Amino acid sequence: MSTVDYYKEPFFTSQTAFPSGETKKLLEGRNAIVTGGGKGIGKGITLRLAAAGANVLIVGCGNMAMAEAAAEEARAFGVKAEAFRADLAEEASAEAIRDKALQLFGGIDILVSNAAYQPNLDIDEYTPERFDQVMQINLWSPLRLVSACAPYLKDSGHGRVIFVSSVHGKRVAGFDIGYATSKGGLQMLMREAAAELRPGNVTVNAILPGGTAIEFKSGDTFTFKAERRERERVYRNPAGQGTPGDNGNLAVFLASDLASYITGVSIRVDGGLVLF
Amino acid sequence: MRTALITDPTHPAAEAIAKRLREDGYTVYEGGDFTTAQGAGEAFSRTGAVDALIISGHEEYRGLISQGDANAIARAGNANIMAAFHAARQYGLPMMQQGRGSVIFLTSPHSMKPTCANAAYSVSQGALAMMMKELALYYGHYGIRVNSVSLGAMKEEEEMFFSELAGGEYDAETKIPLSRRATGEDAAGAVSFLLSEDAAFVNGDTLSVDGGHFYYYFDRPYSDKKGATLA
Repeated sequence: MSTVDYYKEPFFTSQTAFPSGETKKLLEGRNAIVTGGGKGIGKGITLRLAAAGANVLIVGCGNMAMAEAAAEEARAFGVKAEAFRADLAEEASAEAIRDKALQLFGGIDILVSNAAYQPNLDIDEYTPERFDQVMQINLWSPLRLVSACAPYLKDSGHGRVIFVSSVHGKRVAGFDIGYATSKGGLQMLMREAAAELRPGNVTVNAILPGGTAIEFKSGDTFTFKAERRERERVYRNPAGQGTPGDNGNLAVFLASDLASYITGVSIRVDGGLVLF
Repeated sequence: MRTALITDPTHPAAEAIAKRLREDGYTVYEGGDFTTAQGAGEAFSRTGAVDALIISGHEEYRGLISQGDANAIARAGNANIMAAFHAARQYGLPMMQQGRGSVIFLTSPHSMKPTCANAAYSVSQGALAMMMKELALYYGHYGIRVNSVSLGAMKEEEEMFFSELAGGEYDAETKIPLSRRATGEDAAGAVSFLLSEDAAFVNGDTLSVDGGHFYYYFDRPYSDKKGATLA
């Protein structure tokens, strides 16, 4: 699976003509944070943002070699990119990430909260500790990050928060009660933050991926549920799976000035996997 | 004799729900420490398996994400989620083994609509809305129904949700189509219905009990049109 080119160069690496007559890349000079930006959908977003001209701080934890490799790929687009290790389950991680971004770039324009943990367990299979861990990483860490970065996103004048949620934040699937619970909360976090940050010209939106092909999923237990999920996916999506770049394309649009009047929405990137 | 447990008796609707369930013939247990698995286990050793589990935790914390104490917001919100998790986990398995039972989450329109004042509450309610649906899918195969009652604005919670950024809460009586706030009895009626045989095929749904407040967005000046004629 790793040989597939999920991250191939997108069309908007070239100069884009703006109404003002200026030509530049869509996100030229913007500074972004992408949690979990070294792998899977996060890497797709990292490379698309970089291709569009944004500097990227890639936050990783379990596999820093992949985060470092993604940073190197991003730098090939002529932007600044660095990998930074932080354990999002820890309360102090949000401020550490923010401080690192400020140290590297001097400001924050785009926060992509993407990292997530999906152990694929039923309620009786979850220990309380693991359930809490899923909430901390998938839900409360995004809240802490928005809180820590909010003043700088406001200062940006075109601040952007993009949550990578999931179709499971809208639609039950029976795979992982903790993951679905956290993503349901993320939908409301997106709406609360969107409402709060309106006066600061910061937009807050969510991408809901579904059926995306990635290298591997952290913590996936590959039980019978994974096999059944694959059958369902093929049945529902005969056109095939999505790529991390599909999600990255939407992230670039939402991060750009083209989307400055769009806030508080969640958009599925699932090829029609979930139609309601 | 049927039994019911209301996990958090400090919820402003809990007293009315308990009264109604007793009238419906339930033995009603109230309270317990659902902040830990151990606390939930102790509650279970006191009550045994129940026929009806009413998850009513409502930890609240006034604070904006962009200005408040993010860690305090996260802890308060997580307390709601973990309490529901501990209660559902402890009481759900015996229900599965017995092949009967019903779970009701007491939630709020803020599982869909932001508060601009109390993110801990709305974020946790959004999470619990998905937890309810996942449980309905999972427990449903064992004959257990899981639903929510989405209770609208109560007078008791006015200050907790007042917002200078959003106008949904103040003057609520003029913004709620039925022109009054919710009462505990409103919630009790909905809970009683969802637990009854009349709701035997209702699973994974949310019954809104908010007088239509959810649909408020812009003020629409009220005028008495009882004497109007058709155009």
